[in-house]
Amino acid sequence: MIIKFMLNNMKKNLDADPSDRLSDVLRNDFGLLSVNSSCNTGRCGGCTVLKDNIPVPACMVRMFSVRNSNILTYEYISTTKEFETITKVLKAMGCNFCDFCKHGKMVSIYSLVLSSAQLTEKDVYEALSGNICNCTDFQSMCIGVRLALNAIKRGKRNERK
Amino acid sequence: MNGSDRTTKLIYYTPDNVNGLLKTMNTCKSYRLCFDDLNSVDILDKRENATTPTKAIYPGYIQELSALKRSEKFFEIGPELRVNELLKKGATVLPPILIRALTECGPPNVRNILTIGGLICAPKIRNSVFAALSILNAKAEVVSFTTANLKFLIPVQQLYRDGYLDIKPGEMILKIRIPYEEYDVDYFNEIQDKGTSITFVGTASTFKSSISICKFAIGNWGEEIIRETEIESGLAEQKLPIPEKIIEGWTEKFVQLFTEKYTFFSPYVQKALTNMFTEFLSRL
Repeated sequence: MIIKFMLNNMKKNLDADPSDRLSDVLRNDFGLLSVNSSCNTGRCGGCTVLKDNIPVPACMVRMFSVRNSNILTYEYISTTKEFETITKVLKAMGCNFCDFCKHGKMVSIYSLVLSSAQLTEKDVYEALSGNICNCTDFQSMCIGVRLALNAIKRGKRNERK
Repeated sequence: MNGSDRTTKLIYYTPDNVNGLLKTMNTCKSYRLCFDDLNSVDILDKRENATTPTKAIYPGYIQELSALKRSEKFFEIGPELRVNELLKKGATVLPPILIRALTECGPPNVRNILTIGGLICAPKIRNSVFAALSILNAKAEVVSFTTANLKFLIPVQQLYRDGYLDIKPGEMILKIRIPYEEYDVDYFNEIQDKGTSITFVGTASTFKSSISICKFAIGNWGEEIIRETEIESGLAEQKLPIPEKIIEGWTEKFVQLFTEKYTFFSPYVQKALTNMFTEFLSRL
């Protein structure tokens, strides 16, 4: 079955088995190795991608539900301006994610920062509860995410001026 | 992935409305119903002696199945509605117990995929939401394609018989109907044991310093939802506040259940559930 969808803002027509997992297709057909599917049940959050700007675990998404939707992976997100500011702030806060959780966490943080106007500690905790890894101190990560949101807001305000 | 896996033998149908779904289901006698995160269901026509379906149907694009409608007496939830969407749309309408049960069913990125129909129909994941729905007297509106599109309502508790979903081939859940009822006390608690979760859900309403309605359910991973109507009806006429001696009496009766009926619970779970039960009673 030919499935039409957008991958990282590029039109794609893929002849795939509709019951395939999105994570397998992204890794095997498109070579997007940032999608780490280890648990295949959506528990670890290593394969998090954005489907129509909503974070979803790619291992739980079948190909037939991807039709006409826009999939954004870490590879695309890492080229954006917002991502740069997020990484700068998180580094300044001393957050160094391990290679297992880095991609999933950054995708979740990116979508959280872009979709919210204000963030509390509870919001950050809930949004990142799907990414299981204790490599980074949560408190500093939470402060980092909130600071990143403020930095992005400030940047947008300056652009308007 | 092997090349042989790539060959697409199935013809996929993605209908946009319920009528289209009915038509495709009536024309294809043997088909495979596919869902987002859960396993697909094969429906085979015995007359054709079909062993594998050649057609597959994905109902995820039908908007009617992913709608939240409100009426005077109840609200209706489409089975394909995502849990996070339901939490956003129904934040002010849904009963607090159901909101709590829905938020507990997974992290937000998983809730973006999970559907309420899937939570009911999947045999291993239906513990928390299923227990809450059974307490709230939720009913599933099922449509039968075989008997001239007949629609009928089944209480959510009766959806399962002997641990298996009691929806026959040619039937499908169209809506989940929850009546508007306000309760004075809502109680929800969950414990983890050996990688599974067990939930205790309770509601009660009072009238003139006595309990008028009291319901509780225990949601257990993969097992039947436990409801004890004897204890519920006994508690219903109790005057408030309940004295400690009476609470102790009811707790003893509750503990007896584990030795007589539900022996599969571990001692840790039994203790935790009894604590939850006494906590629920003390809140009344």
